[in-house]
Amino acid sequence: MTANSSILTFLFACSFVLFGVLPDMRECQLRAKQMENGSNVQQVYKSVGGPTNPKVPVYWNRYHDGQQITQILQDLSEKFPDLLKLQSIGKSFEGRDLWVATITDFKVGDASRKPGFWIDAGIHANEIQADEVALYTAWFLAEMHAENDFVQQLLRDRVFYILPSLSPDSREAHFYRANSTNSPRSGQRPVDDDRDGMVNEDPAKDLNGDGHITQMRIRDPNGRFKQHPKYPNMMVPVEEGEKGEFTLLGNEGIDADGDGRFSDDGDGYYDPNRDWPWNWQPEYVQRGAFRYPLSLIENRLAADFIKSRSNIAGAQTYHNTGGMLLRGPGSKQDAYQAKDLRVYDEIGRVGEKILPGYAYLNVANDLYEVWGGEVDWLHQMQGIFTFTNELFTQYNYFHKKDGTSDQTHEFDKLMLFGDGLVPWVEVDHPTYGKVEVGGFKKNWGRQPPGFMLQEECHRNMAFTLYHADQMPLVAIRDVQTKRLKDNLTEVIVAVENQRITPTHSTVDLQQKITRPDHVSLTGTGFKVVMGQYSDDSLFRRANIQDRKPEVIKVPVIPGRGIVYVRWLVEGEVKGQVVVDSIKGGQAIKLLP
Amino acid sequence: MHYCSTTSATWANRILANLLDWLQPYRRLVVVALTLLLTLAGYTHLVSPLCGQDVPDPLRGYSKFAEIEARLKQLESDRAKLTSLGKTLGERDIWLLTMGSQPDAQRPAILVLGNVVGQHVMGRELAMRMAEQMIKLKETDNGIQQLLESHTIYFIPSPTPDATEKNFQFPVTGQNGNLSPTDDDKDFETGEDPPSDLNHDGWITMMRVKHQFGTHRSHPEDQRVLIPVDKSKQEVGEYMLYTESLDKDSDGEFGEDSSAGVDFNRNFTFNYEYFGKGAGPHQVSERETRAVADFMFDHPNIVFVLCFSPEDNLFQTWKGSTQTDQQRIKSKVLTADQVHLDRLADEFRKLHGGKGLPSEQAGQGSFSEFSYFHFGRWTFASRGWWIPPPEAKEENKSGGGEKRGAEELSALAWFDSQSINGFVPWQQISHPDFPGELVEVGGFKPLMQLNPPIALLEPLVLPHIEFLKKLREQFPVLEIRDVKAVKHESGLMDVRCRIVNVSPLPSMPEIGSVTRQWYPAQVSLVGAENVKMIEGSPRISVGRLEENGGEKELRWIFFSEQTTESPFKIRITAPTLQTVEFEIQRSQPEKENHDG
Repeated sequence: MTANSSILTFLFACSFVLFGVLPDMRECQLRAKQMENGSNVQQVYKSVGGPTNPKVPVYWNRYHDGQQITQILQDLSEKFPDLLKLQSIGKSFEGRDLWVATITDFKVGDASRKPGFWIDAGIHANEIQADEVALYTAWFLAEMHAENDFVQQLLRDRVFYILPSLSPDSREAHFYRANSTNSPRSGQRPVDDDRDGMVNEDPAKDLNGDGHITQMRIRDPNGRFKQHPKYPNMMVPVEEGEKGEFTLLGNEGIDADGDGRFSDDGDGYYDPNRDWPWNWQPEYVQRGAFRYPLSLIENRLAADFIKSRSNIAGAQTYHNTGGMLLRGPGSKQDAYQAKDLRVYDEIGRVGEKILPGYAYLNVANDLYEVWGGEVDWLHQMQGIFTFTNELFTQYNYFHKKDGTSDQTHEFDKLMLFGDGLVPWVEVDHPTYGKVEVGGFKKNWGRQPPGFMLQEECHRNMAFTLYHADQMPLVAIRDVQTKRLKDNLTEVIVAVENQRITPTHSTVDLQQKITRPDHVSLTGTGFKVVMGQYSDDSLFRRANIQDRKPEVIKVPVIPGRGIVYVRWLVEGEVKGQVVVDSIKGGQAIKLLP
Repeated sequence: MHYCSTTSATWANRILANLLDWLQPYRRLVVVALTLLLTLAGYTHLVSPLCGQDVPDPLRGYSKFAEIEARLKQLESDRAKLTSLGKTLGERDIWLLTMGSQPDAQRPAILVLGNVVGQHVMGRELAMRMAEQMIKLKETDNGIQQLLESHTIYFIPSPTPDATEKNFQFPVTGQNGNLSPTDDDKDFETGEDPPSDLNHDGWITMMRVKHQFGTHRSHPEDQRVLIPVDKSKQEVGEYMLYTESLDKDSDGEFGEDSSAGVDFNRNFTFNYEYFGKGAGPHQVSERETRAVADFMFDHPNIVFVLCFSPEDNLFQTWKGSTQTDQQRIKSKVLTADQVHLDRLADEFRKLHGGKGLPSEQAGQGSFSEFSYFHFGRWTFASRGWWIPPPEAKEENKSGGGEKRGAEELSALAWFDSQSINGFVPWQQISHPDFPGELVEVGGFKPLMQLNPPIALLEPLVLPHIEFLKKLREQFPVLEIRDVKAVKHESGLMDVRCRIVNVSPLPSMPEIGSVTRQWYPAQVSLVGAENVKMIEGSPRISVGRLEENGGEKELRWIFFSEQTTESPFKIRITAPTLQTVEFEIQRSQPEKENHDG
């Protein structure tokens, strides 16, 4: 016996003791092999709600940079060629690929004709967990397909388009350059923010060289701030009449371009989520607006992709922070149609259940006014029901709705053991002399700590899959034929939409964005002499279509609604009824 | 586009066939003649005379795109640089001609755009001729010489070349859209019901159908002109009025979807019409608009913009008020700018000499309003030419003072006076969609009311050049005045000066400071970059200064640890300004230093 095999024997024995069962030999050998490799990746006891042994192992308590995201997507497309196809829809400003994963059961049906769901994330690159949620969704759908009926049904009927990083240049900047949790929100296209003829010449400055842009304070016997008695990293304002110790100087930075202003021209600046056509306004009305709508290449590529796929009926654009399930409109002058709002309300309320601490809200009235936001374009110009999840909420700290102002520091102390903050440290400042820098690290504040990340990914995905499942889905409930006279037959079809979302949003109908749903009688040897549709099974209110009555154009099949189509046909009625809805899918039924 | 070319080709073929029938008896002669012609001119030259002419009447003498391109290439020199801002779907370049002594430097500039509306072809021709004339006169004309010496003029003579070219094709429709496919009637089919040249005359005009309760009736003074019925007067119409067309898609609409393309002048960001016909899928969606907008944003040195468009703000100036000044989203010219735009428009009108401009409002998404309201520049839109109104209108007795159709009557009168065949007389045709009904085709020929006979264009060139020369005197000019530099014994320096705008225009329009698209002046204290500043900073940004003496006082207090003898300098820079410098001697401390 060699030393190795005696260790193995020992481990075998241990496992017997641990599990208290007699494992079959194959399992034992497998486990032994894992242990030999020093690997604990294989799951031996299935935890519910996730793939047992993923083909592409990923740690979902970590953040991934652009290269890793690309690798994971490529691995998935390689391991699941029938479920996930990866394409680059173009390059970012700095030349990075914008990846879109198309996920569906490619073996069933025509992928381009299934109702589609669009997911993008990280349009604000500093909101880094957004990309992780989108990536997790792609991974989960592919990995879970083999062992879950719901996922199978979803991918049989639906197609997902997932773009996990809409601002990849700035994600790279956030990961590898000094930044704060709030930066960079902009992309990396250089802009002369202070319009002085020099570009990005006065960015934030990492004075203590720790990779984090934190805060600056200067000792000042008459300052208006002091340290928090319990959490010395936290600065609190002094009471009226009380003497402070410090004056706060804002973000770590210097006046690099000598114009008297600190860090006034860094990355960008523009806001990619103020770059969308609906209700777009220029920079003086809407800070962050760039030149004109879709003047940013990343957005334009995404918009072109979405426009070219009119089957997209639902969308999610992930952001952080604040725990919100947002819908448009962004401007108070704008309004969504009442019928469309009922769809949002119903889905949003389920979302509040799936995501404790999250609130279903409207951008303009509950948050702030946004002109030219992506959500508005998706709904008001493309007719797509869209949510923006603002990921992460302070509710997560202690599961309390109304936390105190010092709860972040308390959480840092009790659960992060101080890992979230940079303690104040003295540095030399070219303008102010001796100052201190310190405060929140860039990876803390808007992002969940690792141990919460997977839960955030999963819960938000669960909401989005619920939303996707509620996209319209057409079915033929019933076909009846009745001979009225020798040579005249009546055909009545009941077409059903089984989900909450209508086949056309109200704005889609009003602006004629997507063509009507077609209900056709196909076959030969007969002539359709009359065709009509109605929302009433007795046709008491009906619309007659004179032109090409064999293909009835139904404007909309409402959510969980039924539309009836009636034909009067001369000749022998043989053939089938075909329902073809751009956003609701297709259905076929043979005539009885 | 495709429609037009095929139809004009079939039309030409039909004529060719008729001609061949007619020539049958003279076959041998014809063969000889054809051979001769082919040898002399080549096939392309043979076909065009068969069409009667190679360009439609109203555009005779106007250059097509290929000729414009050739003319631009002839202008190329060290003072006139030709670059392409991009290609259209029709593979036409959007040419930029940069004129000036240093075409590559971003010097204070004027941007001149040719026709921003496809049908307004004269705008392109005028911009071209201005450029040609200025090159010709650059050595002899003092004003032009000065302008090109210190400033730059950007010419984009054909910002929407695909749309413009459509107007040179038969049948003539009058088109503003580019080649992007559009579903004009929003029925989810593209270009399925274009107009048809039913009487084969090469023009798409109107079609009137006799109807007991029509929407239109004949003008009492001139039966040719139709006027809409006035329901308040219990009038009954005689005709239904349509575009000359068939109802190809049997939807009850006539010629309503020719996939007309996207209109350059409706595709910009200001007051954009969402889902509007010709407006495009969204703002600045087209290659043409994107190329021009990007060029403008990349050139903050542009001070003035002059474009040609049917809507004009030189004869019908924009009006704002102190109330509209307060709007959060500005939709009317700001009164602070209106004063100056009015003054300059007045100068223009004197140069131009025209009167009675027909009223035309800028449509939604227009270029000129984008240029002012969003790009924040002094912007002028010139129509250039219009049919002159009739002399001293005496109230017409016969027509009972009928106001409807007045413009049409005056156009007809003018056509007569100029012997221009601008109207197709109503002519009965048989129409498959109106069997047994009286259908007539006729009406005004397109393009004629927007584009003058070429002979009337030339006199418009110089006034527009003169206007550019006037603008040269209006560029902002900042001066450094009353410089005082004191050096204290301790080494403390105290420098102050006044920055004064000596131009008759403010240093930027108010809209420029509102939109923040106008770069403020940067006043630097050169040599003080690394000193210990007590007051001021090495560089100070100076915003809008009023005209004729608007000023800002600047002050710097700092320790000068003198290591070099090089002097401090105050320097003003901005893309819209000529750089100015003033030198302060370090070697003469404690002595006040004044400029002249």
